[in-house]
Amino acid sequence: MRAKPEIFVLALSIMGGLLLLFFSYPIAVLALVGGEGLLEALSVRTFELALLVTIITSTIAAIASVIFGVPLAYLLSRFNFRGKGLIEALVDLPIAVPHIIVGVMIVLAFSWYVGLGPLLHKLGISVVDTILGAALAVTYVSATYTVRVVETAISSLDPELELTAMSLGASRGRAFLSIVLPKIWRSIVGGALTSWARAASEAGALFIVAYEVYFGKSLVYPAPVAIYEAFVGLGILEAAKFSIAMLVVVLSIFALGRALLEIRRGTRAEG
Amino acid sequence: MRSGGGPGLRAKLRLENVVTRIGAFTLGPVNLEVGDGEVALIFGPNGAGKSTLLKTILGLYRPERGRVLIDNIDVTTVPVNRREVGYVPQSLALFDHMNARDNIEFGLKVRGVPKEERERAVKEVAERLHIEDLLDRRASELSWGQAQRVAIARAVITRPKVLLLDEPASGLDPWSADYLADLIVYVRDELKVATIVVSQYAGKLLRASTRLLFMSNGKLYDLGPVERALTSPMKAEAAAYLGYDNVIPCKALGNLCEGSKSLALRYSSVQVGEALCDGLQLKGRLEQIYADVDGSLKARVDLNGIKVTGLLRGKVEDRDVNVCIRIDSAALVE
Repeated sequence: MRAKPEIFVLALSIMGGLLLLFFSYPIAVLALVGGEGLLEALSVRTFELALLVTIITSTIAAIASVIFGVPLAYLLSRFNFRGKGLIEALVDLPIAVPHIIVGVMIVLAFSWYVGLGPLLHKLGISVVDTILGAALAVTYVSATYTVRVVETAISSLDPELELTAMSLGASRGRAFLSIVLPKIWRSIVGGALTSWARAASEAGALFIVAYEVYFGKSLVYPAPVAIYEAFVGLGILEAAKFSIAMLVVVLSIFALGRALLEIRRGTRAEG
Repeated sequence: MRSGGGPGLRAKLRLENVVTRIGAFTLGPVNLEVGDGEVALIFGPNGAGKSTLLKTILGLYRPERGRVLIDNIDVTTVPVNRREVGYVPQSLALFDHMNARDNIEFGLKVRGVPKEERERAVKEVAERLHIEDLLDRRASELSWGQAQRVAIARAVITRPKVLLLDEPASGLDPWSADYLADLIVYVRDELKVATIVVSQYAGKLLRASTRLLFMSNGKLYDLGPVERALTSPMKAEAAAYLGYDNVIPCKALGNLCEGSKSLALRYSSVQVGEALCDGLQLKGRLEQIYADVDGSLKARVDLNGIKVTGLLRGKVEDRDVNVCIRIDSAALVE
């Protein structure tokens, strides 16, 4: 006998389904409108460079979020200390700050007459319109995701694992590397992929910090800025062409990363 | 007060006036000595501070006052990994991304012990604990009892000076609990490690223990060797954990014992429905008759507001019954 679906579950499914529709419907329309020009967009040399710049800066952001975010996640999940609430709020701050303001802050902090600006200038390090500046901006807006994903993964691990490892003679560092890391690497990669995708989609901060970046001998727009340029200069249909091209590239890389993670999980489960 | 440490035994572990504060909870002051080959079983209610005590000995919590000494060396500020204290938590904390062999040899690997020596040591401990067949299995594929043996093997392979077992019998079936007691006996008699076992209930672990300690509200009470603790549990709360079915305030028994204390009695010392009494004869109101797991027929009686459990004698036809209390086998408790 077939079970009758519960009204409540049905209502939840409808509400949730509407949100999923809201997510996917604009993408479908974009694919419909811009799909025909996808290959053409991908063969435009300047847009290819724009995508490359975006991939490079996003990858730098993802790596930085792992290098600096994983230690922070470990501290937040394993220690209680005075001011922890403030640090927790600080981790979430980049999500709350309008990204155009992030751009202004990055320029002021690293390339103006205050703070680190004069020092960096003296060292010949430029932030405005450089890959470094773009990477700083997108790291600021995306690293939170890695921190939060990894923090959740570590918090779900029994702290007795590390304590037991330490009772067996391992230092806390050794316990982290031998016991914690093998159990959370998947979350680290997952968090880094999310940060990567978020960094790749960033436009607001780049408008201020790196509207164009010096890449080799040419000035290149990061991909989201290039799409904006296409929209302003050529209209929405041209922007749709480049948008779907970028979406395909970014989502393909993101999906490939997730798929590789799942394959690893499957192999482990079978083995 | 000195707690633990058999006469003539050199204390391997000594706690001197240790006070540990975790949030609003205060452990101590605790004084405790445990010698080589001793198994101190600390029992008591949840939240009494048993695990806090273990983690203070382990080095996770630093005492606010007092000293922790291992082999007469003050280790109060020594980090966990340099204390040489073996630890088996309640969750066992097996590293489930490794197999049983890698788990067991982890401590030796950390110490840089050569591979051949590690293999020899793992083989030896695996034979002793009957886990040779489990060595190549992933930790996640082991049953709870098997995982527990692996966890104990992992803790003892480095020959720790002190071994701490946190709630090892929790959730075990009666056979596994018996096997656990065998394991602890092995650790006690063969390895002669000073061992502290923390458990909410004493139960099946009694036969593996040499000394009983009761913990309540952060305070530790030494009940002495097992035999003495079972006949003289000192604290009313401890008596309840050691199989005393009844704790009757002396006030309720006239002038039979000191007013502020109580008498702890097992059900066999209270006979319900017995006309002939060679102890204290009282009148009570029968509330329930039931069969218990040991096959006895028990009666629950109200003695002027005090609930008492006794052995049912003869046929009871009225709710007002004779209750005979044999005081000679009772223990005086606080």
